[in-house]
Amino acid sequence: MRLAAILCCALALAGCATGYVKDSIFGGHWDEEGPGELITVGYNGNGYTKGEKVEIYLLYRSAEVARERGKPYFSAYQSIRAAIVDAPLSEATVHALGGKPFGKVYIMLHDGPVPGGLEATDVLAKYAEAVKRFGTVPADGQGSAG
Amino acid sequence: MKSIRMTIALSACAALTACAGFPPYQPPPAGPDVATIDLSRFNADSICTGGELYSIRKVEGDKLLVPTTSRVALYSWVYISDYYMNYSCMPGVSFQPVAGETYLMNLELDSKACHAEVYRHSPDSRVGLDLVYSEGPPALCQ
Repeated sequence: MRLAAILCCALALAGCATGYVKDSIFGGHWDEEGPGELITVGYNGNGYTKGEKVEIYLLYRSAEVARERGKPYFSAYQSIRAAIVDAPLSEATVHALGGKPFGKVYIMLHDGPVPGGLEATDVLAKYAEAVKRFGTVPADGQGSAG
Repeated sequence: MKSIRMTIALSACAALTACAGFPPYQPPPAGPDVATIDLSRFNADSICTGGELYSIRKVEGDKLLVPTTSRVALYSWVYISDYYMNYSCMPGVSFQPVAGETYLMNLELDSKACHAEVYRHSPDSRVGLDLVYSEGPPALCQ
């Protein structure tokens, strides 16, 4: 009886961990237009989300946005200031409030390769397994449509 | 200890009363001598211009006209409630607006602070913005 209760609690807590899903009250990814041609991509975790997941989800979602818009390359920036001076990042920085990690990047889409830019298919291939392991992603590894 | 608590409470009351007493901001009429501030990414609640502090109550279309005769400072108050924990911060920034220019205010949050940023609209670049020399806002417009 006690074991069943513990298992139920464990399952319930596991269910709280936000996977790679669109933003909801439990967390998830979101994106919005602007400023300019930039697209802001963010991920809100909950108390059960690890920071490393947020970093991966941010880059994965950024690559998805690029692919959805038919752009094979993108640059990711930590801030608007970094975008203005074109100082792209290779890893997203994650912050936390009350133990809940969150992160945001600004992305610029490109038709061809640019210095410091990332190739969307490379990022999707690199992180597909991790995203699938961490949370919700279609079995074909193509990610959610957001 | 009791007196310290009372002092803090009275100070908070005084500060809140002072905020409530700020006169409402009256934007200058549109013309060649004013600048426009885009507040779509920053919820400004007060502005310091000409050495006076005003409250901002309603901004039509997120576009605020400001005079360019002196530095302008904009302030906000950010409050995040997370069930049993609450966070608040008061970001602000000051800069010298240039007549005819449009500026974008932006709010950034990280683990320990929040930051107000200001950028100048620059339609020539893909980002559409350019850097602006800015400083922290003067406390209470002094």
